[in-house]
Amino acid sequence: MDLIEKVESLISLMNENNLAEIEIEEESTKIRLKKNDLSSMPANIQLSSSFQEPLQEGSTKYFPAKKSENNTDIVAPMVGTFYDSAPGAAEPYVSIGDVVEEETVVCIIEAMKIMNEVKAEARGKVVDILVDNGAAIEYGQALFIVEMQGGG
Amino acid sequence: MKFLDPEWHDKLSSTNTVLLDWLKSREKIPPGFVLAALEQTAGHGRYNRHWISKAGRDLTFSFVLSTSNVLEELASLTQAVALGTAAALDTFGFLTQTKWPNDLLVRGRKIGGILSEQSDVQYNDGKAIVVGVGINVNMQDMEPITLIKTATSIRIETGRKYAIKDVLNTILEMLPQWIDRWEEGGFPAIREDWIARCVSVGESVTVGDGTERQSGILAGFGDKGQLLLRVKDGVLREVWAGDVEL
Repeated sequence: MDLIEKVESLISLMNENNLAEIEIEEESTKIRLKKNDLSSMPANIQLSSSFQEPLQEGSTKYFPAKKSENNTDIVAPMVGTFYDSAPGAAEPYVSIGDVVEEETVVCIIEAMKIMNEVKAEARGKVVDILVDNGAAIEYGQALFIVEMQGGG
Repeated sequence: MKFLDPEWHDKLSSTNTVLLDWLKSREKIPPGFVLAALEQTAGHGRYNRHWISKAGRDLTFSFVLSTSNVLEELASLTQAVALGTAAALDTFGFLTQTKWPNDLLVRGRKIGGILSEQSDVQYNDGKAIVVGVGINVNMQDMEPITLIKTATSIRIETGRKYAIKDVLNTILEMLPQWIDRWEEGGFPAIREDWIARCVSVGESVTVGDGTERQSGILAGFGDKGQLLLRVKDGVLREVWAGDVEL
């Protein structure tokens, strides 16, 4: 089954079961589908590009919402625990809709009690946060989706 | 490495946080700089576990190192500092053990801990890493946290009161050789000492991290200091975050 067929069958599955969100992960592919509103279709589709094989030519028309050439992932530079805020801070580093610069600290990853600040290393608007505060994460896992700005 | 003479303050929010701020806002905080507080008002152990010290009762200090190590290599610095601090505490006349990854215990009760934070500011040829150490020095055994037998102090263990500046000097004398060994050989250079001091090696443990917990046999430690947990069917799992629960 190619990627397009997978996405189509997932959309069918979501509709049949009235699901708002679905996520599957295989060796090289991670697909996450999310509806903005249960009554509206088509679904708002995101693909996490770090896990994704290159799309076939022409296939991008199936992914009109968030995934585009202008989106990029901020990925985990190491294994550990994801924290969205500084120790003791009430507010997270970034929220959906925030604009980040390359140097903006977006989260902390803790491994063995060393807190490591992670920078965005991309310029644009945060359109999704893919992990929960306190979650265990793997090396290379996508943490944020950033809609690139400035000619991205 | 060499430490500079510690800079003492009567009261700071958290030595780690202040030192991280200074690295961003001030010039010339050299590697080996030590910041210590007689009283810490907003220290943090891990998230939301506050480490608050009353004036003159406990020791809290932070120091900064420059490192070009990649993040995974850096993780075991905490263990090197724990070993050096444990060796220093032993000179007071009791046996200090470690608990993966960052706690210091005496008779199974916590006497101190290490928490490090890497700053993303460019620092010398690499990145700055701020290492924070907290030691219970003069906490007495009628205080609530000691009554439930989870904490202890140098005073409880020895029956004597100590000047916290002297305790810091003892630790600063011992630490450099451990950090040097770690810088030269990474975790493998300190692994045997770590295993000798660490509680629960070879025993059944639970490792908790936020809402996630996993149990198994603490089989050993990988080359980066990560915990190796033997789970069902003999599978060996690497653990990079969380605490061993006693």
